[in-house]
Amino acid sequence: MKRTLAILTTVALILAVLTLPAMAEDHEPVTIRLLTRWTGSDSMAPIFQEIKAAFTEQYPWITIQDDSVNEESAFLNLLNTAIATGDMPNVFVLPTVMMGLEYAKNGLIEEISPLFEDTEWYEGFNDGIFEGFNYSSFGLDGYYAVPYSIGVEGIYYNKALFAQAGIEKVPETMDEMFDAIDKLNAIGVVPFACGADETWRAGHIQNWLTYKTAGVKHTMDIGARTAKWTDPEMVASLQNYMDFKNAGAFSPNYEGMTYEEEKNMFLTGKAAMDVNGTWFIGDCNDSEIAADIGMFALPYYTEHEEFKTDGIVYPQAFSLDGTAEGAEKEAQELFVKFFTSAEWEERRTKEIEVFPVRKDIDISDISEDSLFYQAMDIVNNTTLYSGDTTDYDPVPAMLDMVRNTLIGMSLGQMTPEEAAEAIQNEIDLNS
Amino acid sequence: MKVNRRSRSTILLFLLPALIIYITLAVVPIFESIGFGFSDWNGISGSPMTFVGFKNFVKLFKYPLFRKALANGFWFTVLNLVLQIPLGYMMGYLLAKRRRGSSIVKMICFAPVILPMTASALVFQMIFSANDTGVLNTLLMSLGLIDGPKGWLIQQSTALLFVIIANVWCGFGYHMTISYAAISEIPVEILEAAELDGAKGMRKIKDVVLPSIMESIKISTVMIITGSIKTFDIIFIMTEGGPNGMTQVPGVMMYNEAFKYNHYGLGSAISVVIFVLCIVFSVLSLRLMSGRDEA
Amino acid sequence: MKQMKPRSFFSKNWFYIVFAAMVVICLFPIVFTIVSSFKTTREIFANPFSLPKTWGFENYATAWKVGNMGRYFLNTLFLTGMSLVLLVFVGSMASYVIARFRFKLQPLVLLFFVSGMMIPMQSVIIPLAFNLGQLHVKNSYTVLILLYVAFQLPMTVFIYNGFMVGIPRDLEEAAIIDGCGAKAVYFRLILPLSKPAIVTSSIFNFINIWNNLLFPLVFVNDKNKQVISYGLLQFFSQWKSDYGGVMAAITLSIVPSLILYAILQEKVEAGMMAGALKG
Repeated sequence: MKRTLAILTTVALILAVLTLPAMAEDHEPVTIRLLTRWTGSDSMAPIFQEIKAAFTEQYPWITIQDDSVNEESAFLNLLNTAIATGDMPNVFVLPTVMMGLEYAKNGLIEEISPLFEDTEWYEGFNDGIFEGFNYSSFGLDGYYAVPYSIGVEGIYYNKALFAQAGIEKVPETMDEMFDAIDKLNAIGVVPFACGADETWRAGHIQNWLTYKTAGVKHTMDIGARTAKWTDPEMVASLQNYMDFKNAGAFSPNYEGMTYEEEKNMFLTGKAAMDVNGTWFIGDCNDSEIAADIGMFALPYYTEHEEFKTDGIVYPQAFSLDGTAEGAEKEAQELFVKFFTSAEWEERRTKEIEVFPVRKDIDISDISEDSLFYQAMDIVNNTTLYSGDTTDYDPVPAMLDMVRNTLIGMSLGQMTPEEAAEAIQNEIDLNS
Repeated sequence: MKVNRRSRSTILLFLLPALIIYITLAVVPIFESIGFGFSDWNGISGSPMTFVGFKNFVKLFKYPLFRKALANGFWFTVLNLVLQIPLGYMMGYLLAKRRRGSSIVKMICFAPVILPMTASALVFQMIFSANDTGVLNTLLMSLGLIDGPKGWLIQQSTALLFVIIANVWCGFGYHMTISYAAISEIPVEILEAAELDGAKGMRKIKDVVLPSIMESIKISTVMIITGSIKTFDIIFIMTEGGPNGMTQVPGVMMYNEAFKYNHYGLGSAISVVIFVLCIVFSVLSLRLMSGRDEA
Repeated sequence: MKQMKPRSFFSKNWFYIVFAAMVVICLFPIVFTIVSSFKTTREIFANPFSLPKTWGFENYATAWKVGNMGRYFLNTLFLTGMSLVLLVFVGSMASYVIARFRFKLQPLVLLFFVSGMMIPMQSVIIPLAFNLGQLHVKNSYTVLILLYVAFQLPMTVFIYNGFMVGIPRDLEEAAIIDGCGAKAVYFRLILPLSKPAIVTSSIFNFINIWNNLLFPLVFVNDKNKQVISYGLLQFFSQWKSDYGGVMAAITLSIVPSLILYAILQEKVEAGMMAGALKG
């Protein structure tokens, strides 16, 4: 009896030892690389850390290597080098839909529709949200990105400074906006914080003035090459930027100010307004003047009432490495599904008030008068939207071209007509 | 046993490692880049490269930004020459008098030469910062020389100049040391003879010192010219060529076109231009120098 | 006749005034950086010229941990060290043959190497990025080290050649009589004798490799493999608002060069000057 027991125990032990490596082999260790802009002082950075930690806890065989960089140009440099050398990150934030198209054509990003089989995950998304990443109109079937949020642009303002300047209601039209700028300048407050040393900051203001002068549709037409930057509407939109600047909207030398300095200026009450997206809500809520901050829709020109509901909305999505196979492919899919799951979408929405793209989340405890709901109002009143004015342009250099020219124009190097010609010239040279 | 100074196998064995590394990573890519200049590639790994003839070069010279980059490159070169050489050679001349404290001054003025350009450029970016907490602005405002903060690196009139000033800081110590060495080598008798002839001050410099250090001045000139044509780090870090190309130079534009905008053909065309300019100026200056030797 | 004026303070001391001015100009950015690295960001903004209230190392802790500067520092040390060792052998071997052997192509081989000084680094990054992409080589230190070797070789060969040509023949002959082959002569005689050239070229190479930005910028995407110059740039772009931390990071990046210079001043100058001053 004793012997039988001993033999049995030995056999069991041997079996256990033999099966151990087999079990480990089920999940061979794999590393995935992520490339986002959520690092440093970015408001998404802390929760992103949490998500990564929770993910590796749940899937211990997957190691995450996070190559994220915060600054836009550094991020784009990294991504482009990765694309050129074929050294794709497994999961990365897709800069624009048009860039994704180029990657997709070359098989560099994964066609993600097989993921839809996980109906619990898939059906929780807002209806039609994936359609923005369906390139079938460009002759490519399938879906190439997984959205995790949208960025809605509006104007953040300091209620206390508005009251001090005697501005009774938030500007709805540009006439009212110019009036507000005058009143703010009269009491020595900078109307708009803008750190245009990072050109996207001026670029977002140009997006606003262009969409309200020429309309979103016009920028799409330029992308399709059925319209030009030198069209009178576009020149007028650049002229409007200059008028806006010349009305004293910015602080002197705003072209040399960084985004950090801009945020600091607005969040310490030195400037009354900031044109920014919903990604800025987190910074606002963390600031000392959180209670004074409100948000309103981008004002429109009364002579262009038809563009009143044109707006700026950035689709934000992940693309996945199309060259990954096996365990690596599985791991990157797991991560994206984990990140966009209802649980984390809900926490992101509640904690930093980024905009969700899922409907199966409970956000009832976000207060009605929060910036979140003010931004929700803006998006609900937007009928036609796009991100940057070059989002539909197939030439990747256009974004920088427009923004650099904008700064040059702002510094008095050229007139709006010349700026428009310089921008159009880039398109002509590349076609 | 005996070393055979003609043994082919020994020669090859000793030369091969250097040759292989040098040829595969420097020589071949240079020729490749010329080929790239005549091709187009969309910058996406795995997609093919197509031959397009002179298209990139034609496009390049139509690009207003490239013309601006060439003009800036020209001014960058000229201003570095007229700032670094007089400053460096004046200091070298003064140091060669070997007064007390000379050696420590020499050591301090040379130190910037060995610092990483990344570090120096970042520090100067902060010093020249446009806001009222920028070091230069704080200093000038407290001295009452300017009313409000100035955008040294963003205004058309000053942007390139201030990058050049930072570059001079990084580089003049090198030329100071070259001139110091050259002046120190002038035989004392010659200087004394000149003084007996009544040559003093500026005349002594013009008649005696300058001719004996012409060779060094030429070396400095070549180094500054080729260095300026290739310049990348300082512009890339301080301004990235901005605002709107005000400080753009060919080196940074090449990087942007290739790695930012995926215009690899165009970027290669720029790199060919940079390479050709470097060769032309090096050969030209070497000619000038050897011509001098024969005279 | 004019009366002799008492010489003004300036004309008597102009020499030292010029020196003092240059010392201030050259030293200020360095001292400013080092001093600021001990101040809080608030202190720097309040007065960029003041001394820190307390000399704390918090900024260094930030730069080291958050900015990952420690990692970058070690990476750069490894890369630079490996490149230097390789350069000593590859460079001196080639130079030995060029300087002391007789073969038809000898002058051409020397010219071939030395003319490499004219190749701008920028001109090779696009083809190399393309080639390495085709070969699926990514973030490779081997490639980076070999690249540094390739680009430092022209100067290294130039320095070694200049030195080795001057080694007296009889020394070598004596070794040969002792029965040494070419390899033994190189290892036992030429290499030890070339110590001054090794020092000079290694210093030159150290400064250039330590300070290089372009190659890692293009060929290293992996954050953990990044080097100090690019890491510094990344840290700066992400933590612009943390002036103190940035200053600490910059200080960390300049310290090795400054220490090297402080110890070996003459040799560092000679190394840097090797290209400009012959003999």
